Amino acid sequence: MSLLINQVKLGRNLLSLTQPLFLQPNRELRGKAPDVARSLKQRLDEISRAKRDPNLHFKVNIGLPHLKPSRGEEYSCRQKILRSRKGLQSLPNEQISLEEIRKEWLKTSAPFHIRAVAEHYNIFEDLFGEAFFLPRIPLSIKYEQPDGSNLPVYFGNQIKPKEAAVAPSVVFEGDPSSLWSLVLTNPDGHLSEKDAECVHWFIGNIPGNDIKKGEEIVSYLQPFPPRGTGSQRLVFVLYKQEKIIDFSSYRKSAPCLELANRTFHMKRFYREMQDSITPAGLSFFQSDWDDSLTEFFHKTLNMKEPIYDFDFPEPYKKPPVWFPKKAAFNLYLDKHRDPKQISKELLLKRMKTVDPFEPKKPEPKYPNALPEDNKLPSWVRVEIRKQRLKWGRYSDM
Amino acid sequence: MWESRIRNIGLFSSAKRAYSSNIGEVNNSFLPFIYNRNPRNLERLRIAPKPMGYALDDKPMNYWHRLVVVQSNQHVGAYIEHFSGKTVISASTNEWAIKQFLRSTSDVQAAATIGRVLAQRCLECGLLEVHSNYDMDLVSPKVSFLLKNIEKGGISLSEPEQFLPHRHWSREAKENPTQVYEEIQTK
Repeated sequence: MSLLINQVKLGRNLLSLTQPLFLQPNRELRGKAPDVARSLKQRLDEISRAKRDPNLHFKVNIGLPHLKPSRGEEYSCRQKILRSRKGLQSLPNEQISLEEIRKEWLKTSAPFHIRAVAEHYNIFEDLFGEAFFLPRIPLSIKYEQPDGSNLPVYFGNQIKPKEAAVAPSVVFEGDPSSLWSLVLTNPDGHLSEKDAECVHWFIGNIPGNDIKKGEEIVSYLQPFPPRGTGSQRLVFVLYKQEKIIDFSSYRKSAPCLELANRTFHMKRFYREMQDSITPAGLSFFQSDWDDSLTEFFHKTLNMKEPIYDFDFPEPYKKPPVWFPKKAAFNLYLDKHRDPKQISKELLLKRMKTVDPFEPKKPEPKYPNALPEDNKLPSWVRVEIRKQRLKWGRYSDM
Repeated sequence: MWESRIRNIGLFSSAKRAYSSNIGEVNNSFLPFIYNRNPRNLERLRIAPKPMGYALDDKPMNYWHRLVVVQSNQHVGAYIEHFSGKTVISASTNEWAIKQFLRSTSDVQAAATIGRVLAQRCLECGLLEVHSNYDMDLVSPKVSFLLKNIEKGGISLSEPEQFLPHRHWSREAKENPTQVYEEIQTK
């Protein structure tokens, strides 16, 4: 009887698959027609636009004012150059110098491009909140390496902490009569406060061009991204000062190795000083953990090295049941065991096979071709085969 | 989107190294969790999710950053776009910095120069891998020169796969990207 019912059900299901959707039983046509309905992208765009009211969510430009040269003059100069090249065909092996292109780029489009990259890295939002600035003054920051080469800091390139151990050379164009401040801050990975930054270097009242003649308010400290946290941003901001400022409230005795003292909030700092400083230059790099940091934490910072791991969401497991149906008992029980306990047992198993005084045993080319013990239960034999093939949790053994 | 929350898995101190006896006196407090606000961190670690829901589109949005080449009658350009729609890095022959050195803004030389300039800008901005929908066999010679120069400049035109955390009972065993470091790999 039940067989017949199942056959009828199967028949009905198969039939309904051949019918168009609106004729299928127990089905409702939901939503608008395909030519009218909005796509996923359109719906997401609408939601994001609704969240941002332009009267409330707008950014303020806190950068230097820019005196634009006469567009007519600029245009006529450029047209002269272009007309002299008109009609000439490109030479096949001509290599146009990227350095020259970059020099011209720094004079023309750089501030806008750098702003786009900085917004992609969320720098303005994390440092200033609702403000941004166009970095009109190009900064040339280079970390000198022991072999004589230079690692420049651009807009997000990776520099390891070992390579940034010593303060870099900073070069920018400044009037001899002008005053500048340079701040190096890390908005990620403050170890004891959630939304705070860590100041790695602060030099104030720099006359003209010369960093060395400026007052060192906070001495240089190399980046120390903890292990497992990924890449942290380290941002150089160059401020133009109107007059000599008293930074005594920010001064820290050199070398300030207490991390709590290096807590910094760029937003609050700028808010306090906004009448006398304007951000003018921007440069940033990303830094990752490196094995020289273990010694740095132990010897220089005098602390235990913190190690982190990404907090993945817990995998979904069906709630455990007294009598699971159609589930291999060993696999079912293993799923609900503590993974740390499992890896501890595997580690102990591994340590039994490893001898530090003997060379590593060569691994067999066809591990499952080796003889198996027939007397063992089948599920144990399957586990042994998985171990030999190094599947899943046995991959480290 | 997962928050970039990183959990402290335990305080580790190497018993072999000699350190001062007053360890932990001053720099003692750290939070059990660190929030790394760097929006590009998860993408660099291959943990960030790629957009879902576009699998049936003609060109699915299964990338973090993508390369787009723009050709018009007068100009050649290329830009790197994030899946959110933001243009991150761009290079075009309508920029004065590039235009003034070119004899023509739409020929193969221009396309090749754009490729080199874009590669340099990507390196400067820390974007080393970018997704490209362009098939080298089907693309025009101009665009293929552009793409080849981007690859020569050090940018990979394919992004790595997203790392999905696997269950401890599964057969997968890929390395966790937060625990892989360049120095350790080369040893």
